[in-house]
Amino acid sequence: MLFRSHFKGLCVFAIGYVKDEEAAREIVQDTFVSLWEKRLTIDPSRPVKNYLSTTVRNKCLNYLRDHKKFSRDLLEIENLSDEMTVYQPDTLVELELRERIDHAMDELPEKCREIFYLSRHQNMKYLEIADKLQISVKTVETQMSKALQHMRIRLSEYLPMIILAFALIRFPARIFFSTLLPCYLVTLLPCYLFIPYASG
Amino acid sequence: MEIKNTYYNDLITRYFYGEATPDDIVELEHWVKADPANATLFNEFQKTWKTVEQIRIGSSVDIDLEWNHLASKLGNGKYEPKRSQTGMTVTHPSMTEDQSKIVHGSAELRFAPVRTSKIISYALRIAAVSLLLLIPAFFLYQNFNRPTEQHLASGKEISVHTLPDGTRVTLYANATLTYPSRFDGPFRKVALKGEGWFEVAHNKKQPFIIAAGNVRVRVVGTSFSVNTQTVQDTKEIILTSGMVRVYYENNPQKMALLLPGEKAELSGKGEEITKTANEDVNFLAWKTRHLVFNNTPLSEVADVLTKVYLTRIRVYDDQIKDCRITATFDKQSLESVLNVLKATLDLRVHYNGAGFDLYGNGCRQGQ
Repeated sequence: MLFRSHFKGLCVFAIGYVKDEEAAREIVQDTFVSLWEKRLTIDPSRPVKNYLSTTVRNKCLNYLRDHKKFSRDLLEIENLSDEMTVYQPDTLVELELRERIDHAMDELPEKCREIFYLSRHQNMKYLEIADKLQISVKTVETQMSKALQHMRIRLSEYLPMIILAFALIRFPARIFFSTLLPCYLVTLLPCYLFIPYASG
Repeated sequence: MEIKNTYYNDLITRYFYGEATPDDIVELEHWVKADPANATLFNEFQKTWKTVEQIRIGSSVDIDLEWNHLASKLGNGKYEPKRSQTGMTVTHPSMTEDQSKIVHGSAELRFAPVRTSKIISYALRIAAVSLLLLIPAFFLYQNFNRPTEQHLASGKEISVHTLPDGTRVTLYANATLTYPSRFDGPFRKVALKGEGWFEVAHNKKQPFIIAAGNVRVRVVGTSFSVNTQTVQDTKEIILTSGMVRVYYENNPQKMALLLPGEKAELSGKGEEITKTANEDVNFLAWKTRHLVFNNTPLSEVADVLTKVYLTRIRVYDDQIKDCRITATFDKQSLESVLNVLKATLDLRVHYNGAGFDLYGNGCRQGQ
């Protein structure tokens, strides 16, 4: 089913733009609705992925503009892609990353972890969290920032892996083996070779 | 500094979690463009955020729920199916999935061949990732699997050891040798305290270096003796075969080349290297048990015996201190050597529990 295979990938794609899970989900839903509506007029020879990606992207940009959150420069620096990537569940790298993230979360102080959890897993806004926990919005802000910073430090150790993971998920195998793999080896292998001699 | 850092971290976090106000966004834009370092930080946060969100979405999105949601949206009759000439059958999402699967059979078939080749590329990628994850792991293992330091101490006795490269070391009493469990790198380096006799295994590619304090003895496959504890912290190196270079650690240019039969003395102060011909025939007697006395005064004989047999031999009577003796002993026990001395010099030997004391009346002329 097209829906099942593409929904998650499109959500991730949309969140990259709008930075709001609920908004992203709605945009993707709307996109499928419009796909349905236009299903008879769509050219069946062209890949549906393109249509979906383009539609979602446009809807995202509209959303940003409507909410006055649109910044061309920032989006450019973020280097968001033009196309969605189909979500591959349970790859080795994903499982590893998931574990890293969970571990990093466990390392957070309790209050911080709680706030982060409410934000990400219960989808609560800062204001809502502040209200629920009877703390200031500023505190929520600071704690969220701390959490993300901690994640950044913890995951930066695995950044080559992450880049690799994204590369794997994103590019077709042919491109991966011919360009990205050599790039990875060239840039990182010298570092690993250096380690034994640096202290030997 | 501290406060400023948190400020932008907070700002960036607000942006990525959708809490940034329009003003925030303008400010962030300016800040990111102001300095490439800011842009880098921004990107790092972005990567982190994206990774975490991606992994989370993987599990938080409930497809069934979303499907039902979609179905209800379409079920509201808001859509208007546009008819065309292709004659494709229209299905309503309120149909069960199985039914809609059958109807979309042709569409399914189109995806099928793509799927098998996808599985192969998918498997290949997993293999590649596993392999690449192993490479750094392997190097980290190498890094943590470095050669460990080994210590040898001879205690009260003389001990013999073999080093990882085949070099044989005989340590005199109370000597210690430190060496690595594996001779990696351009040199084979060991550290010696006390006296030792080395029979170094030949290896031109990996010179053997002995460090004794600030003194270095560089060897290329020979047998020689190193003594680090002479009087006043002087280090003594005596060579019996081959060739060694002797130098101070901080001044390797000023080195002395030792040939067999030569002795080098290096002071603790690290200034002079004195080279002399080795006159001490018995310098290795503690290992060989080969003693040569040539008109040697008894006091000296006693010293040699003390060292070789690790037992204190004392000359108690002054009048016999200068008695001379000429004799050669080869692998004799201390007892038999003392018996010879007793007979030759007319001595009395007394065992005092810890060693032997020598008594006598003096030497006759000519002895």
